[in-house]
Amino acid sequence: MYEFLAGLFKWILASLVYFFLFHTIQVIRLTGWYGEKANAYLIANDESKIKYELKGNNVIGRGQGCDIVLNNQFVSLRHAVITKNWQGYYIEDLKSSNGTMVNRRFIKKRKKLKDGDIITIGPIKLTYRS
Amino acid sequence: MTRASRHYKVMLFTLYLFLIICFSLLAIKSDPFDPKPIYMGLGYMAIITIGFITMRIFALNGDAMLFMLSNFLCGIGLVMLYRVDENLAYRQFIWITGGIALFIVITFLFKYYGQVMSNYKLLAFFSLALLAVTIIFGKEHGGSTNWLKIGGIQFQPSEFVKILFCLASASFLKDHKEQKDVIIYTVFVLMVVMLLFIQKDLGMAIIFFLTGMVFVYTATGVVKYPAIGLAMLAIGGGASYFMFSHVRVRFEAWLNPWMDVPGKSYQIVQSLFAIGAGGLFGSGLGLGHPEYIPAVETDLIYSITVEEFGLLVGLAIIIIYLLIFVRAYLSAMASEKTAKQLLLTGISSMLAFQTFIIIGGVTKFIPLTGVTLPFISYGGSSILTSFCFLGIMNSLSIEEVQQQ
Repeated sequence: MYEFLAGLFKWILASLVYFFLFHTIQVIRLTGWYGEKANAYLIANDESKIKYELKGNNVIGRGQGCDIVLNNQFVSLRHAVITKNWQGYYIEDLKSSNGTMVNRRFIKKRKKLKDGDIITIGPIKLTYRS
Repeated sequence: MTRASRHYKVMLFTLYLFLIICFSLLAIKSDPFDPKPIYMGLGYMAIITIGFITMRIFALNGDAMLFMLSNFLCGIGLVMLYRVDENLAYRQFIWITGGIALFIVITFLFKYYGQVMSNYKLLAFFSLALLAVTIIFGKEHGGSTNWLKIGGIQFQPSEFVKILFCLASASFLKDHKEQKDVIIYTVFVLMVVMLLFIQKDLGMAIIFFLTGMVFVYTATGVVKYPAIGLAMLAIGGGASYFMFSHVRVRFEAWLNPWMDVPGKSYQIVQSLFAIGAGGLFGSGLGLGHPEYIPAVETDLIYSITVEEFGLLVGLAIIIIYLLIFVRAYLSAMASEKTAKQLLLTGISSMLAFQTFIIIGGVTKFIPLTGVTLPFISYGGSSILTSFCFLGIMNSLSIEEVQQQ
């Protein structure tokens, strides 16, 4: 009886080992060899699909000094800021005239971003991806 | 990140399933049904879960790759040890728990390595002193005098010297690259190698020598030095072949193991038989014959693993080792700081040489010298040191990502 079970499960165990290896390769493909690709970025929700890589500190606005420049008259000069700390990325409104929304809700204080969150800055919609 | 986290979860559950199947088989194997292996499997799974959550949440960019790979190796090792000898597996379980704790602590604390590496003289002195003390007070164990006993705890100082040696080498060579510094460093390496040679710990001596060569080449980038090193290794090997009888025995057993099967080449022949008996898919867990293989729980654990799980799993183990080492090398190449490059290359080379020497040894690719297989073999010192190395690697590569 035991011989039968051990003989049966040796196939399953070998497949499990290679299944594990397959997903290891997948993680390496997605995050890079030592996690160097594990960055977050914003994607514009219009036809252009422009991708903005996020750094440690990203000021979003119309002004030229901003890290992410959105050319629209309803966007304030310095509209919002996305900062990184050890837990992830946080978005904060910089007292803009038209406000910042995350998932169609105006944010009053700092808010943690999740993958797939839709950030609305004036009329422009951006998707947060990590 | 989110997509990667899905794959991480699949990896974790695959590991759970693997462990559960193996330990359940071991529970059914003993007649009557014995639940102890299942308890151990569940305990190990709990530890993996805690470590995984810690790495994913607190380790800054959520990089748990090294943790998962090393635990897969440890899991296979634990299953094989339980199958060979139950009591060793309980002790190994404690060592692995300690090793994972050490891994997590070092991952978070090693970013202050500047302080540790400021004084290379002290590190070098400690590594030489620890080896010298072993020669004086050491206990003989399996032909080598490389065990030290302090208050009932036995350990192998040469394993811990590996960490000290790497730290000392990296902190010395990071700003000493002239020819005279290389000569000083060579004297240090040769002293370590000689001390290990007196202990008759040949495998470890070769590992230290080759790692020293890698350190010098990484620091200077001059091809002349490793060439001289290889020549020295050849001369040293030739000299020890004529001087020491046990070197000659090992070498002759490698050249032709079939000359003296019950005597000199018993280990290598049993290892080859075991690997051959397993075939491509193995004999099945618990159906091999570890009782014929000497030193099966430490040095020759790879043979019994290949016999029972098959050559395919044996190859997968080698691939997992490769992933760990390649990762460290790529991370070193991307780094800007010399200290970090040296440390990463040195550490991963040391583990890679150790893995190569023992896997090559049991498969008769090179002469068999007894060193432990990192993460799989039984042995507290070996497990703790390997996890310590892995913690250093993880800490340095995480720091690399942070700076970008």
